[in-house]
Amino acid sequence: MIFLIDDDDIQNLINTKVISLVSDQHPVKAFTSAEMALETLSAGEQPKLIFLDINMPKMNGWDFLDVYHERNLPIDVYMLSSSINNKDIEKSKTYESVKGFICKPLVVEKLTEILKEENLI
Amino acid sequence: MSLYQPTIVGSTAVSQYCSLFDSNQNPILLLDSIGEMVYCNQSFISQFGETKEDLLEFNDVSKVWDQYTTSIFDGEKEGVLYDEVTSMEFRRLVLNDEVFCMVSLPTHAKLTLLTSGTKTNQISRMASADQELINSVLDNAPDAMLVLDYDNQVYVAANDRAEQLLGYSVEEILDLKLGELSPGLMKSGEIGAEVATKYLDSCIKSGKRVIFEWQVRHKNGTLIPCEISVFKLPTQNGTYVRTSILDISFREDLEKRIQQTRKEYEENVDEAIKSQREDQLRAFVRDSPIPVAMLDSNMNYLFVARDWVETFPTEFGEDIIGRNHYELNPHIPMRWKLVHKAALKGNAQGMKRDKYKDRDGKDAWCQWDVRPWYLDGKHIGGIIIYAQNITEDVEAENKMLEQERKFKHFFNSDSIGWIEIKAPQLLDVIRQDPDLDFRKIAEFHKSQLGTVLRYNRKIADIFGLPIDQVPEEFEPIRYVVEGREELAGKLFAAVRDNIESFDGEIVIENKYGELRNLNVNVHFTLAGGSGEILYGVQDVTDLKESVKALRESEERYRTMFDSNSLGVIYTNYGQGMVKINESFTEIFGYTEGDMQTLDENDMLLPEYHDLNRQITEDFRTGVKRYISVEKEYKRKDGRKIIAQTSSSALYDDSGLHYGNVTIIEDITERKTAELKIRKQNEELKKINQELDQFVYSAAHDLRAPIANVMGLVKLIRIEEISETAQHYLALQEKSLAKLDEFIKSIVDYSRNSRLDIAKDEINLDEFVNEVVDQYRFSENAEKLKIDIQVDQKGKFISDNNRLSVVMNNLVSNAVRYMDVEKDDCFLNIRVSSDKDMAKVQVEDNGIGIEQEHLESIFQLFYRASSNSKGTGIGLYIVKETVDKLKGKIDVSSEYGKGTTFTVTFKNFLGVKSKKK
Repeated sequence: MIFLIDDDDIQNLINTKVISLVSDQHPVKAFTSAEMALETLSAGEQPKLIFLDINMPKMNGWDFLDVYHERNLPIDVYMLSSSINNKDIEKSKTYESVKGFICKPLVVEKLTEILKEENLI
Repeated sequence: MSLYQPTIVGSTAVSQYCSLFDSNQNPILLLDSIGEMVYCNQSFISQFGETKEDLLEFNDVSKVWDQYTTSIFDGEKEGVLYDEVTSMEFRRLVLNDEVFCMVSLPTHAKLTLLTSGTKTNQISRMASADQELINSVLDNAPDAMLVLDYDNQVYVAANDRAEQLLGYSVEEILDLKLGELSPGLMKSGEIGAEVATKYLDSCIKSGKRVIFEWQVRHKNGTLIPCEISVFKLPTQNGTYVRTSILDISFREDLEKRIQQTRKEYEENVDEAIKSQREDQLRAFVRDSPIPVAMLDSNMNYLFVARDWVETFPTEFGEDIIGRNHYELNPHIPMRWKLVHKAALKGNAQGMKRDKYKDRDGKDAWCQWDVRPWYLDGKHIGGIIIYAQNITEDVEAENKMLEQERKFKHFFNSDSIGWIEIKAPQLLDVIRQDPDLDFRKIAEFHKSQLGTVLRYNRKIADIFGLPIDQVPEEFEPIRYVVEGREELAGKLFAAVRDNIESFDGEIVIENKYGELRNLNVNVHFTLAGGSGEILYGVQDVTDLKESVKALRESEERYRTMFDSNSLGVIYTNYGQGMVKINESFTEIFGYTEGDMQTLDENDMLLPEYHDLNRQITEDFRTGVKRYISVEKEYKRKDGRKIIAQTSSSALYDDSGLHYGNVTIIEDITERKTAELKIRKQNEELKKINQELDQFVYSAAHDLRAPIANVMGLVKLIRIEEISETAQHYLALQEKSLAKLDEFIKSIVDYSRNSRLDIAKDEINLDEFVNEVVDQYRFSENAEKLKIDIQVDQKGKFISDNNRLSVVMNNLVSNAVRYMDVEKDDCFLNIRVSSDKDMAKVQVEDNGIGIEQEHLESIFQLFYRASSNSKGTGIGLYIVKETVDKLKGKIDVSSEYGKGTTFTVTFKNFLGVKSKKK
């Protein structure tokens, strides 16, 4: 299972498709709000990987990461954002569970590399 | 009046007592106990009349007269009453057990001035201190004097001498328009009023006394040649100019007369001599209106003019023909005899003014001319002497010059004191015994040093004389503690050698026990000396001390005092003295006069008073001797100024803190500008931050939909669609990629131009690999063989963001423009760094750049061809960013073969960050 957290429906649609193109082993669950993703995680669901957007209404990516860290959740997170601000990239590095920062769009090649790294393919 | 009247109390006979006032300059009256006038002095008679009623014609006098006299006679008031409006002084006297009231009056002119309606208004406009100043100026003037209210262009005061000279009464003068005294066109061809205005302005501008020759128009229209001296009075309010007028017509007349006489004589003599007729000569000589004598070659008189015997009388009266010139005039000096000899040899000589001793041994002056006459046109028969006695003229001129000098001396400045001493015995003693040791004068002839006739107010101040000091009993010599012998020596030498004035320095101990350094300027009031000696006295104690203080405080203060832009204020607490320089006046608007009643605290804004107190305390205790601090002041015109001040404490020999020197620099403008800039800077910073935030959000928000579309396009292309659709979608994808890159570039550019340079420590190996990794999945990237070699020596500090903008652009260019036709596409990145800089070389074998474009590739929106894949902004940003990082970028390229960019970046190691 792979979680996509992005308030943009289209993004979720595209990224779900891209993931399915690379591997059919990993079903995708897409959330349009970080709160919902946290609830699902709290309910005990354990995805293999989370792709997280930064700019979202109410709870943004950073807020999510803060709560996520408080709860010591073990799942690797990849930031997936259209931000090209270096500050964001630097900030993401301060979170232990963040393994990478992907500048949208998520392309097949990049995803393949990540899944390989995570031993998911 | 500046002279103090002797106060005489006791039972002297009234008449005897009154006679003391006979020659007093002030009008004085004596009233008996029923208020009737029993005596008035000469001055009163000449100025007012012979009855009390003449005086009571003045309204202001009659209004207060009864009140004062009653107070005096009722015995309630002892001593003296003074009326401020009229300047009258009422004094209670008891003579032979009878009570009298003595009234001292100002001069008629002054009383008129003080009490006349319009004048009173004018006067009341002035501060009372100013009025007193102006009055004292008038009172002391030996010459015609006017006081001009420069601001209103009217005369506000005049003395009686001005009345005499100008023919106007004081009232009339005060109503005069300024031009009415002007001569119109002057002899020199200049316009009188313009000349006066020129000198007046220069006087006011410079603050110095200005003297010029002018002509003044008398009431009857005649023009009087005169010397005008103008001086700006140190008044508190308004601009008042003291104008003194010295009548010099006498000087001109004298000159003219001498010239005229000489001309006539020369014309006649020449003619007579030319004619060579003895009878003509004789007739000429005898009838000559001027003193001429014709002598033979043995210096015996042949003919003399009637004037000759009158001018040079001898015991023989008119009967001198045939007698010898030298025998009759045994006093003829040798030099004249030589002149006669020369004339007998054919040389004529003349002299306009020659001093000699007359038969009585007195000094005399004459104008003379000696020339030969010829018997037959060839042989010299003797000489003709023309000799006019000009002693009277010279003496009159000397007297005038003396007056002039006296005048100048008295009124050059308000700080000079003067004493007039009559000392006929002293001069006699010196004259009788030319070899007299000067010490004897000082030691044995004290009593002969003379009697003080009068002295002025300044002298009373300097010597600390009591108000009732009788001039005759004032013996200045008793106060001298240093320099008495030297002064006496000089006096002695001056009398012996007929020198008219000399200077000396003495130290006196005054009645308060203070030591004062005095510069003394001694004049004999008349050449030859009638026994009057005038001592001009200048108190230089303060001057000396301030010079000393300044010297002690070293060159710094002197240069600062002289400096053009720094105000300096010197405060001496002990003497309550404040001195300022011109720049101080420029900065604050206060003059030295103003500063006599103000001190620094009065100008300081109240919030600085505590600070000043602290400074004074620190100076006093010696905790600090120098302090430099910013203060705010209020100018005379109320405007606030900010000043940088540096104060130094001054200590005397015993270590007592006695004063300060404060140097003040007006930094208002600088400060205001600084504040403005700081404010602008802060605003700019804020705007920059906001703009950064805006660009960031805008970029993000713009990119998000593009990413969506790109993703969707990719998804569509996976579906089974026609080849044409595939092609269109590929083009669409390319356009979107370009748009996306464009947005990124704009953000890069915006950030580079606005943000400060960050100082990040960079691991170059990691850094380069990170950049390159981003392009590994680009189109055709798999064909590119990338080789990275990094040689980093020590730390490298630079701006990480900017560096990555540069590297990203260079690498993406290499990827984008690779020559896919080639089998061995490569990208070699070579990086080396040391403590000074990092060098990055990016070499590819891509399509290369045509030579013609090479120079322009760093320009904004420059694209080598219309089908270029780039936006035309990338390399421009690279260049801008490299410049910002104080680096350099070079490019070499060969079309079809490849391109190499070489960039150097400054290592900011050791450069301190500007941010706090």
